[in-house]
Amino acid sequence: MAARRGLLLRRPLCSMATSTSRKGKVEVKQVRRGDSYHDSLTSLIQSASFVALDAEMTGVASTPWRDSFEWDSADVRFLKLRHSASRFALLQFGLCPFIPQRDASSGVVSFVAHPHTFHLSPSSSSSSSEGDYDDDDEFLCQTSSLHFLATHRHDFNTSLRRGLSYLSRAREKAAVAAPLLCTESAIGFRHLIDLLSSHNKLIVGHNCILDIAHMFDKFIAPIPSTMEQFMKEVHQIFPNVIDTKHIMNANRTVQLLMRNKSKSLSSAFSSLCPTISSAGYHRSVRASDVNVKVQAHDDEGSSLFNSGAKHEAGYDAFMTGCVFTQLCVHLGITFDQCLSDPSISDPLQSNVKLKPYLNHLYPTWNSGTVLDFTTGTEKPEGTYKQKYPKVELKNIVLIWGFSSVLKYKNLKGCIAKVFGPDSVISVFFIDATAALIQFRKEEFVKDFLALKESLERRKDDPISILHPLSVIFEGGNTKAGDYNTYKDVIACNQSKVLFKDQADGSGVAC
Amino acid sequence: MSSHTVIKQVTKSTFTPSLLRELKSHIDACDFISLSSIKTFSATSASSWRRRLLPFDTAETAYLKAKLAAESFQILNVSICPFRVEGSKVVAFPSTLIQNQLKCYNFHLFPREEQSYSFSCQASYLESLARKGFDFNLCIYEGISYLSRVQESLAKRRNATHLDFKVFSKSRKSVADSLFMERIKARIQYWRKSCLNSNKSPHGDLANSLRQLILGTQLHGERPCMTIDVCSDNQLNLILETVNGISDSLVPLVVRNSLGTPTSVRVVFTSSEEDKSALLSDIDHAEEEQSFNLRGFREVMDLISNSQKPIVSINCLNDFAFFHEKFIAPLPPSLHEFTCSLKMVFPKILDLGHLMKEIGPLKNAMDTSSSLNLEVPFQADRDGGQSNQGRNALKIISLFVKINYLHICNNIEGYFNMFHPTACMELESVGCQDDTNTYLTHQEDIAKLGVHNLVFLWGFNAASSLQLKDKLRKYHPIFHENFDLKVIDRNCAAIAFQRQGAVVELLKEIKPRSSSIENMISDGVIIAGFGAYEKVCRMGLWDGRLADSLQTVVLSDNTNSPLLAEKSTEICWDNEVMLDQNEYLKV
Repeated sequence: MAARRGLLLRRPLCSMATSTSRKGKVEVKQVRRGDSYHDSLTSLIQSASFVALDAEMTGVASTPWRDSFEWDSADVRFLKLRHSASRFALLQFGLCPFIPQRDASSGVVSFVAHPHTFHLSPSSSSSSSEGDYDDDDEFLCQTSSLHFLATHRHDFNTSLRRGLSYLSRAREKAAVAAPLLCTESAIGFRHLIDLLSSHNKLIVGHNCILDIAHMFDKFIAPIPSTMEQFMKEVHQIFPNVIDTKHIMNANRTVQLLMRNKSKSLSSAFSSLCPTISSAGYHRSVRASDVNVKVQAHDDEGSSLFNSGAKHEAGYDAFMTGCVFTQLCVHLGITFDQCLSDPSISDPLQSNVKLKPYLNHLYPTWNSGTVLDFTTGTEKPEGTYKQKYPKVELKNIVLIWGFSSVLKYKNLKGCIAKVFGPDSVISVFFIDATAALIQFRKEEFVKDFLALKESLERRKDDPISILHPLSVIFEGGNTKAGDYNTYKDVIACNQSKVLFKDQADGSGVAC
Repeated sequence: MSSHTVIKQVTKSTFTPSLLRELKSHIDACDFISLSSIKTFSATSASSWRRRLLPFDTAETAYLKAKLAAESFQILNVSICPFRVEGSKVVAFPSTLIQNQLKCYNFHLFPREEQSYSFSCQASYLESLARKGFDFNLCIYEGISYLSRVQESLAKRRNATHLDFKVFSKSRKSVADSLFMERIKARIQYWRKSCLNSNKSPHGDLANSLRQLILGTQLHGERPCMTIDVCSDNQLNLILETVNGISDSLVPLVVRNSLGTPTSVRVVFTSSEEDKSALLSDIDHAEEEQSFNLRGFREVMDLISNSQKPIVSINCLNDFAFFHEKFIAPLPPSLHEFTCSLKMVFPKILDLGHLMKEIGPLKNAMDTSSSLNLEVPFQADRDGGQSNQGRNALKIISLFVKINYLHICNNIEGYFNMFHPTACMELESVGCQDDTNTYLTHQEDIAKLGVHNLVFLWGFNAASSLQLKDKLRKYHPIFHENFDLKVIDRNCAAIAFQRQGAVVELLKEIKPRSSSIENMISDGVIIAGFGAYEKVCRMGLWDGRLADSLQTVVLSDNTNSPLLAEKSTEICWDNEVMLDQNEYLKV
């Protein structure tokens, strides 16, 4: 069995088929350097029941082997997440406050959404203030991500010419010594994030672990070195986070409802919110639908509004919020309490029906686990439909630098000759230069590594030349290690395109 | 902008074989080609020691930095302008065609995922480009892709073309081989007969389509063809041999999967000798077009390379490291290998930075020149907007003409292919004619020192360069001599002694821990020779602060040597350059 690989990217790159029906136009407020937004948005956030968010970045993985794989342990997944969030830049940040209101005629609670797209300048990308890197000024771009954004008509010039700059909390603190860095506007945008935090606002994202990681890295401080610490610190700052992707995967009713349907944001939006997504065509409002209106004018009157499109951060945040309101309906949550008692500042997050989903985030890969930010742990999630069999990490050997003609069959074949026909459960090719081999038994790992060493010691004697494993070690450049070696390579800072070069350059034990 | 000058913006949609033919005719008619590029980074606006060219960088360490940059960053624009010079006058190419019109080609580039999975950008530099009107959308949406020579040959091995398979006749065939060939032969002959008859078929379309269904006839364009699956190279070989033995009118095409493995043979039926040659030329044409698109901008580089015309540029080391990495092959580990490899592709490169350094200060000459009216057919102006893109190639011409006129370089050949870096300024900041003069006169402030005059010092705790100098004087009498000190990144400094031999004397005392420097060592201050820096660059210890990398080298060095420079090399110690960005340590 060949193991699977997948993009860390939250939404499938291929979901570009556009629906023939013209989508309901949603006016999204565009915020660039010099545009006023602060006062109006502050009061909107204060009166919102929840705020949906989304981010567009310059990429996700700097090399093919930094993508998420089935065999990545929780540690490795975190290392990849941290690397991604700290090296790539944000181009757009979408915020959409959802404000409850009671319909005068029907008495039903509906929402008014205020989607905002913030165009961000990549120059304030890294928050590393400790001086680990002098190159705060540098950020990465993934070529395919930029091509992808281009097919969605992303305007790169706006980000670079008129993007807002921002300053993380850690930077602001460090900048006391050099106050010239601390411009008013740079702190301005960050204050909105602080506002979300200080009001304990309910934050809603879709498959949002990477967005949260970027938010932390860009607006708070460098991401800590362990997942536990990261989750704890995020929880202190944003104590109420909802991931709609987790609800879709964990709730049985929703699972049934969305059976055989894509759980990407735009698909979920069209299947869960048909009345909003195709306004003008589906006039008949289903009784269960929550009505969401979009507010497209503001007091300043000078703002720029664009008709929202998929993969624009403000519009994606809007879709996420709409999906959330419909998911609430399926969970049996009513919004009456959002209005009934104004003294309750957090009517949704204290709702018992929502509580089980609060602060549970979908991980970057369906590993049958969920990230619980309240406790700072990654725990098994029984209701997730797990796609893949469990992987025994301690049974895994990493090899790299072998001949490029070596294929799955050769690898498995020559190992079987030494360790027995069923000794290898499966092989996963990280790229053309490296592979992980999962053995049936843990002891095979030690035996394999010992055998490699002894074969290398007796390089030219006929026994080693005729040994079945010599196929793998031919050429003398093949190196091997256990799963910890794999983790050490991932933990390195640089990013060589080929895993082999990365591993050789990082000087890990082999 | 003068009406004599045309800057043509070239993108994916306008990059055609006919444009290449036009460019080729211009190159053929010119004497020089000026070349300039815009990348996602600029060494002069970088702040970190590993990106910036520092006054103590030798050609070798500068190359290693250029290599690191070329491997990390991306090229966005290349502008090219073929020209001729007659005395003080820039003459455009084919002057008979368009009277003295200078045409500059500005190519917008953006890679495909296969060429570059990810790349770095220097944010502040991109923003400064954006402020000047650089159009990033044009680059990303419309940029021309490219393939280096090495990438192309790798891709060719993967996607061998239809006709690209050598038939080798095995002298001895097994029984199985013969049986296989017989069966294939019968199949093809039966099908061929039906093709020959189908033209005369009286039964019309329906019967024809029925026959196609039964016989497995398909169409290759407008010609009938049949597909035979293959499982091995041996089978492929036998089929091709069989087809060739049946009739000249059959053309076998090898179909491959994405990995380049042959999966089937498509046998195409041609009706005549002319029809066959038409088919073959169609295939050639399609393959030519495909490889044109695949090579992309590399075609332009090949054109320049094939012309063997001298290339005039500035800061060549960086530009050509990028060109080598992106359009030729991965960069070799040393400067020497790089220059050898580059020379085979571009035999004559003239670096104006190097030229100016060699011919020395031009101040007096420039003063008299201001009254001169050089006939440069454009004014390098400061106007913003897109029209500005591609001007750098023109600025180079302007600079070249001036130097050429003032200096009257009889022996320009002597300056070719010298890549000594100059740390002064990049062309982008040469905005107008006045700046060009500044550029030329600036050369005066640069002192020529050798790497043996240098030591590196770190681990100190001082608030300013002055304070540090004071401290050093207390450590050792040698610091009472004349020396210059530059702080590199907060806790690391480079010291240049005027006197030859001072460094050797100082370093001699370090390893035996002579009492004269005891105070220094107990304060945690460490000194090493230039060799330590060379090692840092060679080992690629680019991450983090320079002091940490130097420390790593010193700790890993078990030869007990004072880490002197390997060989004596000249550097340009620019007294004007302030290295510490935050001016943390004010002199």
